[in-house]
Amino acid sequence: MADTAERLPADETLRPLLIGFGRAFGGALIFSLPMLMTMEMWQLGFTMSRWRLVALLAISVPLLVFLSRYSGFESTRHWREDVRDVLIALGIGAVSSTTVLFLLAVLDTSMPPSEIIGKIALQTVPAALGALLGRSQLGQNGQSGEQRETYGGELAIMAIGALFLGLNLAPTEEMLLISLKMTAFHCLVLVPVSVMIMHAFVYASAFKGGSEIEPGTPWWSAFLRFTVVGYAVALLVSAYVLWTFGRFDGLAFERALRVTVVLAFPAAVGAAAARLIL
Amino acid sequence: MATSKTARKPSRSTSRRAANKTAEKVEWIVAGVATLVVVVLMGFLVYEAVTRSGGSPDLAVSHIESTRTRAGLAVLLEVDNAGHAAASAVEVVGRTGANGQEARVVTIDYVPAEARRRATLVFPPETRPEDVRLHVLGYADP
Repeated sequence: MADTAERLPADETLRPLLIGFGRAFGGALIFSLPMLMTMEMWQLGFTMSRWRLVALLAISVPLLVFLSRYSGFESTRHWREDVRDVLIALGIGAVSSTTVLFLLAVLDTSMPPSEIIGKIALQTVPAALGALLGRSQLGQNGQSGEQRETYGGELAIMAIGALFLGLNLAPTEEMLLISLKMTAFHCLVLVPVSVMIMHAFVYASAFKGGSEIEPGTPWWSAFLRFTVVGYAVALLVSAYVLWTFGRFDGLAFERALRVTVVLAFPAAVGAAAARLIL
Repeated sequence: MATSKTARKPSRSTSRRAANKTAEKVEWIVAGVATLVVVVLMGFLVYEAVTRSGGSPDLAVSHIESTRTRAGLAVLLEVDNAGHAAASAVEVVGRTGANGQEARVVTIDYVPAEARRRATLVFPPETRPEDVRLHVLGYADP
């Protein structure tokens, strides 16, 4: 009896904590491996504007706190704990990115510090997003599964989905290339198609019972509140990610708009599907 | 049996509370270390942004070594960028002969700021290494 009481602290403190960190590393890898193995991301590490890199990291802290607070993975806690979890996620993101980049020989010690730090800093944000998702699924205080359904939470989850696909695709050369191949007519068709696909996902998630939509809600209400707003979130996330990666540099406004619409297509699918997956 | 059960209960909940406290403490320590990592990362980037923003690449090419290979004389060169901006599609030419009539060109994808990248030019086997003159032809902004 005394023996189990003695063993208890070790079992109940370190194990769940270590499992939590393990899940965070797993989440960071799942989220960031596609980007860690993308050539354009390595190049952006030393070519992109340092101010935009700083802005990406600085903005990620309040953004991740918002996501951790409103995505509803853990029940209401003090905001200080959200900030702490976000900082841990950023730390884990930095450590996992550094390890993988050195392991894959993308980084080596002969490189100048600016190249090394730039490559790591760029990968830290998506990895931290993955770490946060991976870790919060555990429910540190044993209150997991208690999801709050709020409108802000729905939008936060949509933003995560849009960021996931947006961050993966935005650094590639193909986004610009596709937008150059497309005519204005293609672009015009792509917007309603994106919105329709999104609405199908929103409708499907209503069936799953995860969404806020109650039975008997008229279709246009869900369409306006979730699909249209969700598409706007996808557009905003796409524009921000493209700007951060310098994809708008030297582009005229209407060209930049076209690239945004192109990226918003996968981002919208990501935003809408996130509700079903997460 | 009943007494041992009642006696165990409080000890378990107190140990659990103590356990939660330890977990909290470990979490805050990890958060502290993580904050330090993030602050150092951002501090370095801000320092770079303030002191190294703008400017242009400053490239120099140097001859590292020459080896006789089956393809000919392989001249290993290194492009060094002393500037604060990265250069892409860096073209390097190597010339030999009195009028530089024998020329070989290589393109290097990227030379980041304050970094070095290596490339090799291959000349006919009879070329003397000391005759090879290296120049940077041009580069693009990434």
